[in-house]
Amino acid sequence: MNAYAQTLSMEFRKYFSTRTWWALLLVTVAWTGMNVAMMVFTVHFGGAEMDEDMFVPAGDDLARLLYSMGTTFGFVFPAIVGAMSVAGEYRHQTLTPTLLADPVRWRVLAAKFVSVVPLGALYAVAVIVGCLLLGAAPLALLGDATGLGDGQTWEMFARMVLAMVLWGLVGVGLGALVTNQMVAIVSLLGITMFLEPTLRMLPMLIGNDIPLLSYLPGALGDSVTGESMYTMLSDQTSLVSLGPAVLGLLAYGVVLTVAGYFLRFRKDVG
Amino acid sequence: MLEIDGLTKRFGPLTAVDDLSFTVPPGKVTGFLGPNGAGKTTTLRMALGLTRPTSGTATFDGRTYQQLPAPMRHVGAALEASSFHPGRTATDHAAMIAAGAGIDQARCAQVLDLVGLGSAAGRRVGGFSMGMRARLGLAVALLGDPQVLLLDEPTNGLDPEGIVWIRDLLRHLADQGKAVLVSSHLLSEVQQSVDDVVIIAHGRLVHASPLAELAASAHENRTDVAAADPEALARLAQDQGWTLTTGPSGTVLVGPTAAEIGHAAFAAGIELHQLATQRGGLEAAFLALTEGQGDIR
Repeated sequence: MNAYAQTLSMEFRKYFSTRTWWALLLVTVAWTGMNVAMMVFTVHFGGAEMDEDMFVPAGDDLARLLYSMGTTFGFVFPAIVGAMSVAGEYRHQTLTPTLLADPVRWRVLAAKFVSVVPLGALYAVAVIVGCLLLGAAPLALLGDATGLGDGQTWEMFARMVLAMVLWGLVGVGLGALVTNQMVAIVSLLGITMFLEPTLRMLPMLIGNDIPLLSYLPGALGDSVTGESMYTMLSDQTSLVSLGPAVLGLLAYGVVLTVAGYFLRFRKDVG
Repeated sequence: MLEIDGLTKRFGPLTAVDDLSFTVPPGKVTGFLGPNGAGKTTTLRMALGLTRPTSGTATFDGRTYQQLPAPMRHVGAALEASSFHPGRTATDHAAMIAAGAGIDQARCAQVLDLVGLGSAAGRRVGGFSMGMRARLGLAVALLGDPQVLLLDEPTNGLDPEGIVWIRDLLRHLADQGKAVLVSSHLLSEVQQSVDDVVIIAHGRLVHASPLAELAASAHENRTDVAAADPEALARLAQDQGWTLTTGPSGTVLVGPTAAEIGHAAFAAGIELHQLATQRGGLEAAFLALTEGQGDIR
């Protein structure tokens, strides 16, 4: 085995030898599923009270919109996993044995970047399972359209996998740049769940579109998925098309990781 | 063989390691000694590529740790005993490192058995005592059956039985032709197992020799002397061919006994105010070398 394969194999063993990965996986299914279920019931029973000006899709479109909540709420999990894969090594001082096994730092960080890809896909599957169990199942029970017979729905699921993988890469970059695990996770949540949604409300307040806001990481993530409840409800930031969205979110991951490498990961350990 | 050549590390205005040079030859256990804060760990971390030297080099048969094609097969290192994820079992930790270093997974169980962790291999490290963590660190160091071993305070946290065990192990490894470096802040911890000693204080080399040489110097007479006229005392030392040095508590005469000094001073009419034989032994020689080079930095 060459050094690249060895280091990659070490990174995979790291993920699967503590309980974090499956505990987070269960939380992912439960948290996204719960949110999707809540929206299903809100729309089903409260639909009539919705604002008349607001465009509310119906049938399969509505089902897809509900499932897209999966990434809206689930994207943080692969990002947390990615951030922990770097920052967790600083927290538990396991960076020392890691760098003794492979002293080539950029290769270690690259292995973390690559290894988070299947992990991101795994968490995406958990999100989709949550959508099916707590979204599609109740929709079917209530007699509403589930959208599962529509190819577009499955295409969106595929795009959700892509979005989650990209969020994993952003997480690795954030962990490499911040290195303090707690600070990394808190800033991830703060930026994506408070700062960015606040910024994305601005166009509504000033009555003007701000194109730059479409390139914030959360907006790009929504664009990768292709649907977003956020976007519809607040009628603000417009989505960009799939290609630029993927490249944009990937750029966040790459830039953060490269910056983390030069500013932190290359530095003295211990 | 590890060669440290002119190794220097500055952290801002603080010089942690100052132009340090020594070698760790194969087939021997070298004790790397100095008070806490002397720069031992920083030196080891530089040798292993974890910390970048300000200047100087540390090479294993001519190559830095990063340049070694399979570093853990050449060099095994056990640094401080806290580098484990508490939720990971001993076996999983070893397996993860073995995977990264390209070492056969079957080796993990072997080294865990070797260090006496066979029955605890499946337990999470979070529940391990300090001694068990030290053993796990040692097991990982031995994974690649390396030619060079660098162990930072390996006896920390071990019970007396464990200390005897590690002494025997180090001797055994050196007898196999491996180069073994063991750091400690206590000479007494390692004096029964080391062949050579490298002593540093304030990041500088203060002594390097076979242990036997340090022991021989420890048996020289060392006497603290204070005279009313220090210059007269210096002249007397020169006339008599005695070595006069300055210790932490003043003038020290090396060679003659206290009685010989007292007699010669009396004959020469020199008024003495102090005449005290220093405590002998290896530990005293070690302390004399590092004393006054305090821990507080």
